[in-house]
Amino acid sequence: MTNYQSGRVRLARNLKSIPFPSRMNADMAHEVIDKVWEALSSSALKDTLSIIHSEECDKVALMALSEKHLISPDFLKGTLPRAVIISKDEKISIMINEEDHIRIQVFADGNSLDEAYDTADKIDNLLAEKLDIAFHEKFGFLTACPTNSGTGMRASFMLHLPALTMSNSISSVLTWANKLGLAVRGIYGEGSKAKGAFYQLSNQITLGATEKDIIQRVNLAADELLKKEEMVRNTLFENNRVRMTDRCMRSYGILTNAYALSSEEAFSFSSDVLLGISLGIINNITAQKLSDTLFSTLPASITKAGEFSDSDPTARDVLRAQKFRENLK
Amino acid sequence: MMCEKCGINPAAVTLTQVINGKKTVKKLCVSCANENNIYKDLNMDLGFSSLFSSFFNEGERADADEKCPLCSMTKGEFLKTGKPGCASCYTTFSSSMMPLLKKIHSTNTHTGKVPGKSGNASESRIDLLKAQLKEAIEKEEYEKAAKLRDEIKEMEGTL
Repeated sequence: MTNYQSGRVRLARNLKSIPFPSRMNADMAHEVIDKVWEALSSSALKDTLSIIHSEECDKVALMALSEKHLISPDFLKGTLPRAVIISKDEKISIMINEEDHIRIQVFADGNSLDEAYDTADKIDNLLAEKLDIAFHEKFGFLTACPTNSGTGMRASFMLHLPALTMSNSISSVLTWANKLGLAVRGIYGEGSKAKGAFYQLSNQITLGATEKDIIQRVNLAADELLKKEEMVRNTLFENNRVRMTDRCMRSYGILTNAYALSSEEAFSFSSDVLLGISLGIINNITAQKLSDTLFSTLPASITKAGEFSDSDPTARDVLRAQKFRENLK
Repeated sequence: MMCEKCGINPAAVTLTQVINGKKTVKKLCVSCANENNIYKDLNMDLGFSSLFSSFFNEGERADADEKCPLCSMTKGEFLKTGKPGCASCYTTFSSSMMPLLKKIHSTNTHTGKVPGKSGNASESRIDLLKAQLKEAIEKEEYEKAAKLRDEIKEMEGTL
């Protein structure tokens, strides 16, 4: 795999007889957590799943889960009791009491979302066996925000698009995606900035199309975007061979030698090195290993790994640089 | 004067902080000032939380006191944000919900999965609508029948 690509499928579900999280109290929140956990811990999946309660977990540990996309940034906000159920391999996470009562999320292996959807679909069926899920024959699955109604599904890919970013083509990508009923935004979801040329591509419309149609559309759009990225990348490289090689090698030099690295720097240099890998300039590390290093050394994850106090960015930067040196050598 | 934090870029911003009564003044460059989040403290409400409210017509505000039986959200509250408080709100305020969904998704009819069953709702729903159409014709409810006929046509077109 020369391109970095990471996909996931999310289903939003709610219980029929309890108000949505925006209008519920702590007792109702506990009731939802208990019901969902009871339904799953008595299912065939019970041995692979464990539950984390927001009330019993410290903030840094929760932020580290958010950096791994196992919970959303919104999960960290507010005081409502929430919980997340995570599988051992961290491919499945089920958030409880975020915007909706239940958010099933499954990460994809490779470049297709089909398998991830099938897994999410199975978990959804397991829950529907035990719980009274809010559904309307015309509106579909009922969600806290009408932008998710219908399938309640968000299918997305995280894509690394450095050449489209460098050539200022992202605005035309946005227009193109919009016409297909898709959205492109920063990697930590709504309102977040694109860091290091990483973007999230997802379906915008959830009602009217079937799940399979939406999955197929997102799969095809991701393929198409990566093809366009490659085309622009090759053209840029042909015309600026020395400058681009220099930029990738310099960034590689910094990542393999720096003594302290901020997370912003890690994002931007990793982005250059990923570009270098895809162009064949840098051969001694894979895109997967580099992106794993990047996403496991974000601020909260590194604070947790080094058991630092929350307010010690220098110690974090030193440990982050050490991880990069070790993994990239 | 260079930035007091990084020492690399020229200082462009004076950051004055009063923490626990102790005042500190720092001269920073723009990028270090950004790290200090001084611009991000601007907590201005741009009214995006009520984004959908502009989607509703004035006429829909008539019975603003109507209440949802489950979560007791009023129609007025719902129209303010466009966000329902619970599953029952979808049916209680369905006359406003239907056009809202249509504006967001350009349709308001679900064709995907139904709870507990993989596969599509559309085929089973068409069967249901056809049965309702038959019943409406038998009862000579032609207005209702015409609506059902259009809905079936629309769904068969999207399959």
